[in-house]
Order: sequence, then C-alpha cells, then structure tokens
Amino acid sequence: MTWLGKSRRVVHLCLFPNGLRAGTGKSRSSVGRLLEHGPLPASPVFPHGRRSISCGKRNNRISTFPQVSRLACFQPGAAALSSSQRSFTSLPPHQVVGLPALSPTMEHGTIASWTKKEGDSFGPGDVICEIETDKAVVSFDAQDEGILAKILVQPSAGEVRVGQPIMVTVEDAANVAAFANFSPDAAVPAPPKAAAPSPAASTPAPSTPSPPPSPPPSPPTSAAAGVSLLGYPGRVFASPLAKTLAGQLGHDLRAIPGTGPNGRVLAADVREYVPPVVAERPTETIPPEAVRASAPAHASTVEKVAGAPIHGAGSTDYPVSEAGRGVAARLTVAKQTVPHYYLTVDLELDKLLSLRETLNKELGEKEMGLSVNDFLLKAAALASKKVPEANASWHGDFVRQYHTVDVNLVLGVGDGLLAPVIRNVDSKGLRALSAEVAGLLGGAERGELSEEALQTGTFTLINVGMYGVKAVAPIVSLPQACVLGVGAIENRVVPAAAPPKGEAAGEGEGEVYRVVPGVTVTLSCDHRVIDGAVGAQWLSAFKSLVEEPMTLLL
Amino acid sequence: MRRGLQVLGRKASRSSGGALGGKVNATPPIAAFSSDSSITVDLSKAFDTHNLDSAPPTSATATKEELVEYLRLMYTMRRMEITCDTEYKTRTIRGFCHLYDGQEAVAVGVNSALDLNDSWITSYRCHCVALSRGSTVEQIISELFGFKEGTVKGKGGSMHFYSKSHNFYGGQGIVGAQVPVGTGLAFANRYKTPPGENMPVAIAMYGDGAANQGQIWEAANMAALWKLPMIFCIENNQYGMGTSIERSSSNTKYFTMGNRIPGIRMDGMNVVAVREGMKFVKDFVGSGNGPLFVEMNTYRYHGHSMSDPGTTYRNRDEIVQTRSTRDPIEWVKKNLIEHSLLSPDDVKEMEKHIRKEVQDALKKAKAGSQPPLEELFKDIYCDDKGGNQYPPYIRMPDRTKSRTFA
Repeated sequence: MTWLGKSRRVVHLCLFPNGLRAGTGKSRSSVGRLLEHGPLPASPVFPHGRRSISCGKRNNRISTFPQVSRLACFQPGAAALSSSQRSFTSLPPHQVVGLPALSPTMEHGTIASWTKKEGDSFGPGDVICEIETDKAVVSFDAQDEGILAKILVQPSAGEVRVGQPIMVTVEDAANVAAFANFSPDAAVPAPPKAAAPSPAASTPAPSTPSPPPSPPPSPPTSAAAGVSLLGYPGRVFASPLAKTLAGQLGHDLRAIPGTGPNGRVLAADVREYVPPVVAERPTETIPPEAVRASAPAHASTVEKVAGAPIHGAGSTDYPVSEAGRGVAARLTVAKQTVPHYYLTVDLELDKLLSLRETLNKELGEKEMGLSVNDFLLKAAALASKKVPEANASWHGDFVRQYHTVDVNLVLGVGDGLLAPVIRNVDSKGLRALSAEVAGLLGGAERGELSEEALQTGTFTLINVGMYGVKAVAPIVSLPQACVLGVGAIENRVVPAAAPPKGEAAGEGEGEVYRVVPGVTVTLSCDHRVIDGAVGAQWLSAFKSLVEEPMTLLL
Repeated sequence: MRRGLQVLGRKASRSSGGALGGKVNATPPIAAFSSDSSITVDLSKAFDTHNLDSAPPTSATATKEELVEYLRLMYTMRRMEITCDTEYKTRTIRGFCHLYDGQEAVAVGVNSALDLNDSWITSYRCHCVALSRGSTVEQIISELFGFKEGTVKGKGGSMHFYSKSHNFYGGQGIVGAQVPVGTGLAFANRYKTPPGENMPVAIAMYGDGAANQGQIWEAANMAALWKLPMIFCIENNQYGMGTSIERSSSNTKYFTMGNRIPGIRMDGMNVVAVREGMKFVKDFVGSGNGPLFVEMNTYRYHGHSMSDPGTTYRNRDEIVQTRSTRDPIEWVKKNLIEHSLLSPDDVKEMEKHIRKEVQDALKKAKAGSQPPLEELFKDIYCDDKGGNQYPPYIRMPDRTKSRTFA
C-alpha cells in the first residue's frame, strides 16, 4: 500500500486547558457539526495573500478564521454530518466524521483496524480504516487531504451505528494537539435512519440549525380494494362491464353475489341477479348465551345485514355482520375472563309431568298448554330467590345482588338464536309465563322483538332438549353470574327407591329398577360471584322445586 | 502567442505506437514553451488514428484564460462528485449514483470543442456532462436529493439529467441505449441542415463495457451509410463495472471497432488533447465525411457506482499511481504553476473558492423540498407548444372522471 506523505506527529500536550472548552460548552460543536462561520464577504477569485488562522477567543486576537469553504468543504471522504452556523468556537476548525454507510443497506459496522494513526496525514484515495460491515470488511477511503486528529472509536468498541462519530480530522497539522481530549457532546446523534427498501421514507441527515431537507411525504396508503363485500360502503370488486350493467339495470353491486375469481362480480352475475322482493330480514347470528350488551342503543345502530357469501375454490366465505362480530367479541371476553365452573344434576320429572298434565286439563283445549320449560323457568326463578347470591353480578370491587329475577330465555329462531328477557319471573304465574314465552317466540320468529325485550336480565336459561342433546355447559353471559343449561328429557332407568309406606305398589314392588323421565341440567357459574357451595345450594333448591313441583306454590 | 514550433504534418499514421494504450505508464507531457499568457502543449503522443488520412495537430496552444476556465470547471466537477460521495454515505442521496471523478478532462475537453448546437447524449455517468450543459451544481445536487428544484424537477435522479435548450439529451439508465438515440440525433442534424453547410454534430458517449453491444454497430453502420455527423465516443476507463477491458473485449482498441469507419484514440486525461482532438473530429464529421469512433483513454477513481468500493477488481496501487501521475486537474495546475501563469497561492484560493461554492450549493440544495404529488402526472403528455396537457381519455389526476359506483 502506498502511503503518500505520511508524517508522524507527536500529539502535544493540550495547549488549551479543559477549562477553555468547558467555558464555551454550549457553543462547542456537538457531534456531527461542521464548523461554519457567518457569511464572509465575497472575495475575488484570486485574492492576494492568505488569511491567517488563529483559534481561541481567549487569545484575544481577532479571530479571522479561515474561509468557510476550507472548513465546510473539507471532506475526507467520510460521512460528514451536517453543518451548523457558528459564530465562534474554542476548538480549531475541524470535522467530526461519522461512520459512513459504505453500502446502501449498512446499519452497523465495526472498526476492524485503523490504518492511520492520530496525527497522520492522508490524501485522496488513502485508506483511513477498515470497517467491517455485515457483508465484508471494506476499506474506508479518504477523498480529500487532511490530517487525522483524533480517533473516537477503537476497534475494541464493538458495533457502531452508521453516523456515529468515529474520528476528527483537521486540515492543519498544528491543530491536531487541540483534540487530544476531544469527545463528542451527545452520546449518539440521531443517525440517518436507513429506510427500508421501500421507496417511501428516506430520512435526511440529522437535523441541524441549518434547514434540513424536508422529510419526504409518505406515499398515500393505497386504499385497500375491498375484496369482499363487507357490508359497508367501499369499492366493490367487480369487472368494468359488470359495473356498467349494474348501473344500467339499477342494481346495487354490493348485493350481487360474485362468481368470478376472488368473488368478483361478473356481468353474468349482474344479469342473473334478481333483487329480493321483500326486504331482507336481519339475520343475526347471536349464540345462545351472548345477549345484547347492556346499552340498548348499541343494538339499534348495529349493522344487521351480513354480506353475501363469497364462493371460493374449495370453500365459501360467509361474511360476518357487524352484530355477529360484536357477539363474537363478547363471547370471547366472557370465556376468557370469567372463571367458569360447572355443576350438573339429574332431575326426575315424573311428578312435574303429571302436574303439568293436570294443569293443562284444567286450562282446557282452547289455551296453549303449559310446557315443561315454563315449569323450569319458574323453578329457576324461585331457586334464585331462595339462594339470592346466585342472582347477582360481578362488578370488580362489589357484587350486585338483584331483587328481582329476570331470566333471559334462549330461543332458537330459524338459523339464529335470540335471548329475550322475561321480567320478574319469580312473581309471575305459570300461565302468564307460558303466554309470555309464547309471545316472545312468535315475535322472534317474525323478527319483531323490541330492544327492550332483548336486554340483559339477571339469569339465563338455555334448553337444548329439542335437539336431543343430553347436556350443555353454557358460557356465562356477562355480567350475569350463572346460566342454566337444560338437556333433553329422556326415559331413564334409575334404581328403585324403597317405596314409602302407603304408596301404591303399581310400580313394581320388589323390582330393582324403575323408569322415570329424567333430564340433566348444568349450572355454569362465575366463581367470582358464586362459590361451589352456593352453586350447589342453588342447584339443590332447583332440584327439589322441580322434583316436588307442588313446592312451586310456596 | 506561439513561439517557433514546428508543426509536423502527420500522415495516415495507423495506430502509431507509444500512444496511451497502456493503463498507467504514460505521463502526459508538460508544455515545453509558454508565453505570458499561453502555453503550448505537445500532443505528438496523444493521438492514435485508424483509417484516417489526417490527424489532429501535434501541438496546441492553450491560453491562460482557457486553462483557468478548464481548471475551474474540472475542479468544480471534482468537488461536486466528492460531495455526492459524502452525501450518499450519509444517505441523503439514495439509489444509483455513478461518479465521474478522474474523467473530468473528457467532459471539459469535449465541451470546449463542441458548441451548443451540437447534440450531446451520454450514459448514466452524467453529472459532469449535465454540469457542462445547462445545470448548476445546486440543481444537480437537488436532483440527486429528489427535490423539485433539481434539473428535471426531481423526477429523474442521478441517471436522467436532461436539457433540451442546451442540446443535452441525458442521462441514460440502460447501458448502450444512448448510442442509437444519439445516431438519431445526428440524423436529425443532417436532415435539418441545408446541403453544403457544415452540420452540427451529435456525440454519444458510452463506456468500454457498452462498446461491444450489437446495437452500437448497427447504428454505426447506418451512420456510415448515410454519412451522418455522428461521433461514437468511447470513454475507456479500463473497467466495465468490475471487468477489465482485457477480460471483456477481444479487441481493446475500441477506436478500431468501426472496422472501416475511421477512428481516433486520444489521451483522456489531458484536457487540451481532448479539446484538440474533438475539434478535429467535429470538423471531420461535420463536413460530411461520415461518423468517427473516438476512444478517450481515461480512468475513474471511484468504483462503478456507490455500491462498488472499486478495489476488489483493481489494485489500489493502480488508483494511487493514476492519481499521482495522470490526474487531469493536477496536470492543468502543474502547467499553470510551472509556467508562472498562476501562483500556487492563486490556485489554492481558486480551489478554496470553488469548494465554498459547492458547499453553498449543497446547503441551498438541502433546503429544497420534494415535488408535489401533481407533478406525477405532468410532463407525460404535452400540447402543441410543449406545455403540459392532460388528454381527455386520461382519468388521472381527476378521479371524478372515473366511473365508480361508490
């Protein structure tokens, strides 16, 4: 390697004590700032003589610093961090050089070795140091003449960010001594951020008093071309001809199911589309336990219409309506945050069924009869009265016990489920309950349930018996404390109990078993509100009410 | 004022030896004589010809003013390229950046020989040619920053400088693509010139890496058939990206690549040689003798671009030696100083002044801003007068013209 003009200089003891620098601490150039002085008068192209260089205001000399150009232009091929306007400084003119970005993707580098020592001079093309990048060891060449005044980062310092100062260079060898104890002000200036290869943001060099280049505006985020019809106004994925046709025929593109790739609406789809005569009824898919959130206003603004299904290659996408998504969110929260536990009991319904028969005979043919569900509703409400702790809700630092029992009864309607509330179940008679349930069912089928009817009560009951399901362990519907799940009524074989004295022996006296209609009910409880004992008490109360239905009168 | 120099008539010298075919071994001669205000440069070894009966003169005079002007321009180019290097390393300039330092004499020499009527098209290594033709340092750096104050409003970048008013046609990103386009410019010049008059020439500059392309021969063939005023100028900086000419070309005498089309090779580090050579070439092709292949023997100090350190395929010694012995700026400075046309202090002052100018231009350029979004749609379609116009069938930028069913 050819070294041009290598001159070794001994670093003198600092002629300017630290006090000098400390005194002008604020004005001292911090990292990455070139010295630059105020605008000088325009000089002729070929002025005669040189200007003298002097440094240090304390010397009481008129500091005629060298021309701006010499300082400001001095670039030993390094990452010259920005320049600043300075009126005076205590240090001689110098340049603080940061780690250069030797490749467009370089973020960090390590100084592998310093080829030049402090005090060495270098010329254009000379290697100053070797820098290890993520890819290779690259030499850092000088582009101009200069003298290395101070090395700021040694090879042992490890990885350094691009832009972090690594050395100080000067033009005049006499100034080298002044930098013996130089250290950059700030720890690390904001290094030029390496933008991702995206064309968007190339941030400028660290900001300085001189106006920095304004950061480029980020490209406008391309509006997502709505691939699916999500039930809100947006760009519909349709072919141009389809758009034209739809406009001509007056159809709403959003309502037309698409059969093209990715669900694109094609012209054929538009031609075949027949708009529905009747306004579509809302198809909410609310699972049994998750009723409306407490605010009724929320329900009215919820978008009820789910978008048309999108047919794909091996599957069909059914867009979820706004309401559906809300329900899903509530369910998730309930399942994740409520500490559930489940208590199960088998009930024998023989007495309840015979009572029901009797009562229905009394009511006669004209009226709709009582159903088992009505009995269970009433029993649940009375059990809640007997164990009022179960008729409560969790509020963080207090538990609210309600004085009335309002039961949400989960109804299956067509494809969906609704859970309207029946108020004051504990104080209503079976007939009234039956009528109300029937009314709610009819209303649900017709889609006419009011907001009031869909509010949250204090208890929930879900009956899956009609599907033949033996038992269900429901999810607690926040903010309630428990929910009762009722299974299917089926004839079960149970061990024969010793018949009490006086009972008729018609059921097979001496037989080991008997057959009873039975049902399995499960109580899901929120353990924060009800502990196991309370839940068991409730369930035992419920069981005795159901198995001895006469006690419903009490 | 010239002092008694014999002008040797050179005849049909077919690739005479001793020309600067080698890489680093030949040092351009310092002028032998000088008067108060001019020097005479010996150019006897500066030219090699091919299929030419005539040749450029073996010596030339350069006045002090001319030399100072060359020095000023070359030094500005040098400082500008160094500034680009620094700015690229601080990531204010991004993307492509191909630097020209080392080759300044070619641009300055060609610029001094041709006039503004002559069309000039070059490759992506075009910052310095842009400086010669129409742009200021501030505009060039602004353009590299991508700001609207740049030469082409920030929409072109490093490789796409352009100035119609100065007959500078860029600035090309695709290697070699500028040559057929340049031949077309020569065709236009011939087409527009009344017969009997000297035609303005067209020069297409390309590198040794592009020189073996087929399209160049095709264009040269047409130019020769139609006797177009075309200059095929190869800037031979010895390396095509990372491949040396010995490894890339079976024929490294690029000025002979025209086969029967005549050619001339000149020392690209000697600005006066380039100037004299190009004057000769301009006369030759402008008077209807057909095209010429011109090879400029030059060198670049940087790598191919800013992504290339430039030392993996060539010896660092070679770069250093070229800098010390053949640097074009040093040659002019030495001539000025040794013939007492300028004192060393004056030269230093001039350098300082130019550094300051470039720094000021950099600062001003940094204060610029990116072009607004509307610029995206301009300069694509124009009306009869060359102003911007949106044809009615274009929807952008007015989206209300789009038919949507929102």
